[in-house]
Amino acid sequence: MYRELSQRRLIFVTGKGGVGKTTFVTSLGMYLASLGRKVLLAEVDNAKPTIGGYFDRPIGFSPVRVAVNIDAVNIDFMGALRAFLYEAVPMDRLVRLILRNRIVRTFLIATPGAREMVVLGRVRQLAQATLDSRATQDGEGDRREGWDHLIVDMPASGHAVSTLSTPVTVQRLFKVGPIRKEAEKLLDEFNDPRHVALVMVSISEEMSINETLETMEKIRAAGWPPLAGAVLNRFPTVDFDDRDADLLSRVGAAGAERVAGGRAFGAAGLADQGPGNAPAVLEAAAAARIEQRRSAEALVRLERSTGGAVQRLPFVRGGSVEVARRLAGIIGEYVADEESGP
Amino acid sequence: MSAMPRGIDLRADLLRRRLLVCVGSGGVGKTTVAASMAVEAARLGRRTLVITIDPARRLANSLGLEVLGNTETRIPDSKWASVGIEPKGSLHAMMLDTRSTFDELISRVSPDEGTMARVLDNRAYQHINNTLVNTRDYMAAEKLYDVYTRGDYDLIVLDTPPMKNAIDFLESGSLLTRFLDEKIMRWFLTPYDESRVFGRRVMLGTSAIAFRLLGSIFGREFLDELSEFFLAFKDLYRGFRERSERVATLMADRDETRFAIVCSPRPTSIDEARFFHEQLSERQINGGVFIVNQVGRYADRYPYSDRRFLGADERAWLAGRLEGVPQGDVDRLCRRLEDNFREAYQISLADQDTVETLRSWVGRDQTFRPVPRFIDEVMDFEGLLEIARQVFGPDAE
Repeated sequence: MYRELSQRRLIFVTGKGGVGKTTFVTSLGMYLASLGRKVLLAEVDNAKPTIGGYFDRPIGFSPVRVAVNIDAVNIDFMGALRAFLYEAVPMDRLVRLILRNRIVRTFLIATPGAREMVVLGRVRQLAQATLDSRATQDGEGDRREGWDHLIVDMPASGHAVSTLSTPVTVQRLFKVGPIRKEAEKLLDEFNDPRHVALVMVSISEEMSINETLETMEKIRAAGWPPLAGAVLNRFPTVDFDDRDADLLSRVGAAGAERVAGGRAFGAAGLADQGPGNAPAVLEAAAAARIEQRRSAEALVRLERSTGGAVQRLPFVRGGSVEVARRLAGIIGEYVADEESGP
Repeated sequence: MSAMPRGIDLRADLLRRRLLVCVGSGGVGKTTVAASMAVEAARLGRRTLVITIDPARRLANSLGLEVLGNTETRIPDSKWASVGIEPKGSLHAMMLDTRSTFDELISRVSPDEGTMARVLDNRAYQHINNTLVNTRDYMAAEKLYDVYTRGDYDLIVLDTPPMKNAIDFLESGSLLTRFLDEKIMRWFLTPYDESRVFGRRVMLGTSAIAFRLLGSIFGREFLDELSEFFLAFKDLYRGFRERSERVATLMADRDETRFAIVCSPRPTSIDEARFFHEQLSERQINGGVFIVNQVGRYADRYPYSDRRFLGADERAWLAGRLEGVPQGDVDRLCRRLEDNFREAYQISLADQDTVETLRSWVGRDQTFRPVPRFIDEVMDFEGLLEIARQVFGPDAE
């Protein structure tokens, strides 16, 4: 999947809230940048942009350099609206008039779908720059403008689906006008599996997997963007194998597992499970075994739904910056292993 | 973890308020926390309803419900009996169905059947209902208000849709009302009222310019469609706006309503919680309750520095239980047990740091509660009670 992604110039990333979307976006960006690609990371209409925090730089509507080969941007609605109008309405004076008119402005802000179209329009403009960059890449070396990849950190799945299906709805509702044209452009230019991919990020929890599967269903129904696969994030790193499990049950940890899975907090229910740290250590082992089983089930469900296009990323401890860096390294190792493999 | 309550007495709050709104970003266990608070309120004697947005099937099951629908369902007595508690109040739960809530709302504010049918059939309305992202937020508020005014419950606990910022939820109503702004609507309907056909009437001034501008962006056809929608909507606009204003007033009512911010011990989540809090304060909303869910469980109890978690005693005990097993296998098991525990311990230490950061930031007049991580997300009714014990502290009775 990563090799496939490295061929795409527009990559959408979404998933349930709290599963590590932004960290994955940043890691993927760091990985691609390490290949010498120029990458633009985009947040969408976020009141409090977070990507900047990974690089210790504030970001705004204009792309800023945050690391070697990496730029970042926050596509806020008002900025995107201005950019959309300048493209759709050829006269500067008219654009200023539109933005000044209270009725028109309110209308644009509040009209259903307008927000999504305008923001996607900006994504398209920025992605256009990745296309231009491809065209002029030869011989220009590092001086070239634009980016090889635009990675879009979409809102959580529900919002992301509404946003991405808006051009489809718009095409159905509107027969003419710039909004219709924008929808056509978006679907013509970007519903192309050679250039565009959507990646779902999930963790092993039931709700996250459910939401991921539902979202993929909806994306398929909408007909775009092309689905590249899913990332199963925070996969447990400690493996108790069958032999360990057998031994643990002989120690009496099967009881611990019941306690852990049921209700008790702390090791209170395990007071008889050995001296000193033994109760806590066994309890943590029981928790890990539950986690392991759940993750294995989650993996099966995801693989079934994506035809096997699932990448695991391990659970990594630490602050988000450190985690993003380590995951970028892990993605690199993974691709290298795959290439050197049989 | 300190259980000494300070600031707001949450249990007293449960008994006094009529609305408890849980806000937070996704993945922090907000729904579970909301359900556990409702369980506690019911136990203490209030007729309680918890409105959830998208509960895990297992959470619904933990409340004894096969499915949660848009109707209120009473939690059966057998659930309470299974944990040996006789609640002094009662507990109902429901799941929010955005679409049918919107339809219900239209029928409630429609003056007659004809108007209602025209609105429900209009394509622009269907578009709004299907795609307008923040209708979901607004519908949660709307449903809340509906149940609130009916007065069947002493306390309603609302689990809100996950959001990046608290404003989304609070402003969803005003955004919708802004779209349905009377001035815009009147302006839109003027050409219809005069001649029923666009373009026949000579519009003057701003109106003409604005209309041309919008026409150039959206196309005339869309404006026609929208005008029809407004025409149909005209008669129920007032009712709609009044409701949305009353919802906003209720949210901001410091006697009736409390907002609780739920977060996890991840630094980004803590940042978001602070951001939410600032937004609530700016709007004079009654907040000040922070619940940090999913906090690692080992930091307080195992303050080891030597990183060896299985000492001679523990190893001897394990070996005793595993008599006859080759030493190599036992050693390997011990190694994995220690590796695994070290990870859990380190996470707990990191969580503790983050939790302390927030604790020091939370004001004296506010309340801050860490809730230990459940080992498994599997929830049952007793689990909800256990979380309630963590949130509200030991029972005074």
